[in-house]
Amino acid sequence: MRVCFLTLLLLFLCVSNGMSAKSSVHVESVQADFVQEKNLPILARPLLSKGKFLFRVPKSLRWEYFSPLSSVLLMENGQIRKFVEYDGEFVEERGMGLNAMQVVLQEIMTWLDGEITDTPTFFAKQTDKNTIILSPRKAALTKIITKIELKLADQPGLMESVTIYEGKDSFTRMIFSNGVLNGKIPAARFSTL
Amino acid sequence: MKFVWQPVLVLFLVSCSFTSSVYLPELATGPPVGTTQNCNTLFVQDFRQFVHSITFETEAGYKATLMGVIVIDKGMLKTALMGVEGFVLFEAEQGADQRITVHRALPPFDKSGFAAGLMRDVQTLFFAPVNSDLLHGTNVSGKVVCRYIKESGEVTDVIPDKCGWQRINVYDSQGQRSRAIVAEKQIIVDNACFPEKIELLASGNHGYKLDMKLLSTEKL
Repeated sequence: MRVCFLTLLLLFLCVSNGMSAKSSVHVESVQADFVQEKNLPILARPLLSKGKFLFRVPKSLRWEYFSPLSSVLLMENGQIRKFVEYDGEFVEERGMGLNAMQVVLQEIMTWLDGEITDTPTFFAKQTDKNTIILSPRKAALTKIITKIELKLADQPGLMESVTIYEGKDSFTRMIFSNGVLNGKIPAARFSTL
Repeated sequence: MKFVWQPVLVLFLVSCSFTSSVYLPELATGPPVGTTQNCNTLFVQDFRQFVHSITFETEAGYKATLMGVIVIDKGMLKTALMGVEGFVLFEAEQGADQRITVHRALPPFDKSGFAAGLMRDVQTLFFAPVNSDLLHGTNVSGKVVCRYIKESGEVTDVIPDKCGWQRINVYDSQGQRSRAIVAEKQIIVDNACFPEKIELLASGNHGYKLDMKLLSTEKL
């Protein structure tokens, strides 16, 4: 599960980077707020979460949720650590199979040249000016994720939304706002809470 | 004097096994004078959705926090477990006939017995035991107890609070406690009481601990 999420997140970030390269925008860092909507048939209404992410090339990431549950995922120098708030304190989660990071980094490298192309994990298809559909190559991944829809923002380098489909009526949509390209992000934000 | 160690060792081992298990306590049956208690009203009375954060910890040290959705709707019990990031790790439903249909189960939630165990825990938290004889009584601490006894010999003791339930203990047919559940901080929603925090301890070979915090509940 952790591999899937990180793969998707970094893919979309790298797509942003790719699109930027195509549009002559060099991306060093990206940060944005997001609202995450979880849609499941059993839910009376979508579950809403709010958070913020920070990304800095080549491989630093901070993915933080503020509500309804506080958690922070930090990625730097090939290491992933996840912290979840528990009784007012952040506690590190253990035993989550963190060695899969190598697979994720391979995906990143294939996108950094700036072209939106297929990768070993996904087929990529641009359906209109602002929409890219990623489809899993392997049947095993299709059982978890059926497709990903990326909506690019008008500003090169930024994403408007990412929708991850787990089934026909089950999907997670992340809507981004207040995006900042190439803002200065202190290094400590990727290693400390 | 020669020190005889064998009986001491046996006594020590026996003491350890006793202290590691909790058994069904005696109950003084009959409601206390002046107390009226409808035990079944301690549980959910309407159709509603609950969303909890669930911190799950095993004896082996695996610890993770997930979001759990429970929907109680017209004879159906539906549950889903998902990561904070939104990925659904487990989704299943159980009808009035108790048959469980699993729609999605990713490791480690695809293990044999997990779905049945999860549904059983959810039933224990939100529903009065069915097909059970009900006794009222008090325990040795003087607390009122609603004791549900199944034909199989399984016993569920529910200790009411001013609002809702305070504790639930489940004992297997041998009288050994298999679940110890404590509710903290009841909140009132739609004129009904719900625990804001729940701690569930499951005993046995594959023991685990759940810490649940209510994030939202709404009537359907």
